[in-house]
Amino acid sequence: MEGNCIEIKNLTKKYKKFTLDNVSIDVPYGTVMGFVGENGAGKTTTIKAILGLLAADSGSVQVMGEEAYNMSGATKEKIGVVFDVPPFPPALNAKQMNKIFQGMYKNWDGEKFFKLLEKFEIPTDKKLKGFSRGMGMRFSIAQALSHGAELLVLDEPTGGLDPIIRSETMDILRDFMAEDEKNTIFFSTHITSDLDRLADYICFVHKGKVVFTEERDTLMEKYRILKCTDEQLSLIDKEDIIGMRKGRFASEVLTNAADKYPDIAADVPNIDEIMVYFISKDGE
Amino acid sequence: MKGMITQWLYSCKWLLLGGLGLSVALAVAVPVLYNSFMNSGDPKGVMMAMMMPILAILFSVAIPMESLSSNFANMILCRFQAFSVTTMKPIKFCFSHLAVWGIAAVYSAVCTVLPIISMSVFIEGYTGTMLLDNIKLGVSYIAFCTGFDYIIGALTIKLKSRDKAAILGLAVGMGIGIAAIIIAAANNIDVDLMEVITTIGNNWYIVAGGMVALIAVGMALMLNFIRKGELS
Repeated sequence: MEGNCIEIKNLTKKYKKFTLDNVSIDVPYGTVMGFVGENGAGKTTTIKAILGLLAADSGSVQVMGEEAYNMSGATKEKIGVVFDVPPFPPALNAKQMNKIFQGMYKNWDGEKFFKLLEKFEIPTDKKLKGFSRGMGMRFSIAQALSHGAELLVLDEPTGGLDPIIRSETMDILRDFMAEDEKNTIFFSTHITSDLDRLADYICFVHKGKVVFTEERDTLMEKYRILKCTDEQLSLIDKEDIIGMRKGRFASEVLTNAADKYPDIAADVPNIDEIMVYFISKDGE
Repeated sequence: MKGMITQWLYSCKWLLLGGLGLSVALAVAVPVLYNSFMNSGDPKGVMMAMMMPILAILFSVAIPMESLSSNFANMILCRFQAFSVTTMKPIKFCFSHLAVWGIAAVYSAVCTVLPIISMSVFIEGYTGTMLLDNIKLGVSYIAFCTGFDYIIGALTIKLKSRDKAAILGLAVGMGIGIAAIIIAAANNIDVDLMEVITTIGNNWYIVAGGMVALIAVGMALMLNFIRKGELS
């Protein structure tokens, strides 16, 4: 399906000590957008704007063609939400929550919900406050996948999970994408290895601003770290230097123009390194 | 909306049962105590007897309402509320809150009526004007509590604390009351508090208008806080 499932244009939201500044992101239908940034970068604020949990000070956020803050109930029905901390009443169990979800979603599929809980080995009689973090997250995902969602919005779905559970979670999300070509995922994380497993696009946000939005494959092909001496560094055009780290005897430069410097040794960076270089100033 | 009501019922079921139990207990105890105090002949006993019906109404309303509002506030603090807004428009979220309060108000009215009916049956002379006045007092109290607690519910979203919201709400309410008394005194206006309460209780327009005004303020606050992103 063509077009953008999520369109964020010049989104600005000001708080006392933080400003989400002029953020623009497009998420095409049928793709997975990995939204990455350090703690406090603005990931959760952006997700809140997408979900209609806050209104922008300026700019626009459109989800499935509707303005996010005034989304219709029918469109909200198509969005599956997973918060970083499961938001459900801790004193209730899965059976009781099923009844509550029945009253919240017109297309609630209780049968699918309980099948998913069984697959995830989540007990249905146990109070949610007794769940581990992994169990709580899988419960949230089961809920998000049980009402006919076409868009999943996940805020740090794998934070605090062990590698096995993280891998299983990524598998579940891949299965969701395979179900329908228009299914879309927008997930925030600061665990960059999750992006390798799932993301088609990566958007890096830092201190409330988008630093880059790239296709994951292009990202890995586009950038190189040049390891150069001071003499070699002087030969590199300043416009080609995205970020730099100066060492005592050598410097490392992130560039997307490595082809221009075939005589300088170049390494392929990982996503973590690309992010670090993008925000490094004078090479410290 | 149905989901939020179900969540509230599941969360409050023991409180709901407890409040109803208290109401039944008052319905049994108040006539017994009233008749006992009246028959004692002791003037203090007679005074106690006269206060019994009022106390019964306040307790059968106040305790269920406050228990429910506290538990509801716990529900507000729970991030379930933020999740709820991802399934419905913010204005529908506000009306869903109101629906829960409306059910709580009806429940409280039932809790109030049981002791009143019991008193009218078992207390000689407790009929007619006295009965009607007490029903009006109870309903007025419920109406204002509903509106007032709705505002506290909105403030809880902003302050992230039920206690802070309740203290702020109480402080504002008491401040308005004290200001009114000071203004009346400054203008040499005699204010009979019981007469004021009775007048308000007897005038349905004031009761209904006051409740609607309080709810409108609460709803405006709630929508504003959601718009700013306070719900989390």
